[in-house]
Amino acid sequence: MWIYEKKLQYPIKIENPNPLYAGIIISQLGGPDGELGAATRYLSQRYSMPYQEVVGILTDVGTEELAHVEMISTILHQLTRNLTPEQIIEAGFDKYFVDHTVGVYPQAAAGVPFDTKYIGVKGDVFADLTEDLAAEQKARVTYDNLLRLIDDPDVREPLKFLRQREIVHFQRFGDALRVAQDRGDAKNYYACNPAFDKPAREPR
Amino acid sequence: MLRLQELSFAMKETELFLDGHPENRRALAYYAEQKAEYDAQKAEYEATYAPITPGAGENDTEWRWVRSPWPWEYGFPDGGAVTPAAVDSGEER
Repeated sequence: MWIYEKKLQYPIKIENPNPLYAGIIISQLGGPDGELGAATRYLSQRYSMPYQEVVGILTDVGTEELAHVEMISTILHQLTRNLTPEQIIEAGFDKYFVDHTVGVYPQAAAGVPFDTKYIGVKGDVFADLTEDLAAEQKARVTYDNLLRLIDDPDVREPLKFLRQREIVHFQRFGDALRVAQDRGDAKNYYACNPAFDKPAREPR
Repeated sequence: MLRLQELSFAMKETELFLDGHPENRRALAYYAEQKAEYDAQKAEYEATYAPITPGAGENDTEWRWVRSPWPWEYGFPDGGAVTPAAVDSGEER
């Protein structure tokens, strides 16, 4: 079970609202490589994962992703404070505004609502872990693209932190893959799926 | 583990109530009571069996977080095991 901590993982204090930035950063909440998908992906993959260390990594990275959901949501909230109708229209934020006002709704930048089609839970050790490695890289690229478009240091600093976390998570999933390979048949890792075929459980 | 689950459920129920009634003395006193017992029981469980949160208890030579079963694996390290058959038949542990 989970317990909430009333703090952000990294400080966020944005002075100047900017609905245009909000409209693109929202992809890291509910977009194809966003934090909500990341948390859902890793926490869902745990149940079929036969290795304790890997379940630990999925649990702890998945939990951190929930904290990133909160960080992105905080950025969106602070970027959409005290807006006038003129600012909303000028920034092209009107199409979001008409449905959600300035509430924080998980969707992609192009307006597509969050979808679990963005994530994979294959129930296979190597398929799931390589999905996770790719997911971290794709999220890193999305942060790269946001940083190409955004000037405000108040917004850039937390995004740079989140970008770094994608790289660290990629490395930790690399550890997870190594753990899985160490337990497998070095001549053919794919001879069986340790999450399904017997013996599925590591000895304790 | 069952006792910890009971205590944390009592705390969760009281938390939700207190969110809407932050000055209710009876609920505040009840919460304090449950929390004190939970904190004590949790510390004892984590020292004796396994961490409930990462890093709990002593981790001098080994990261114990990944050295005990996960909650969906039919058992707890204090011996409170649940067999798949018991789950299927709804039998209590």
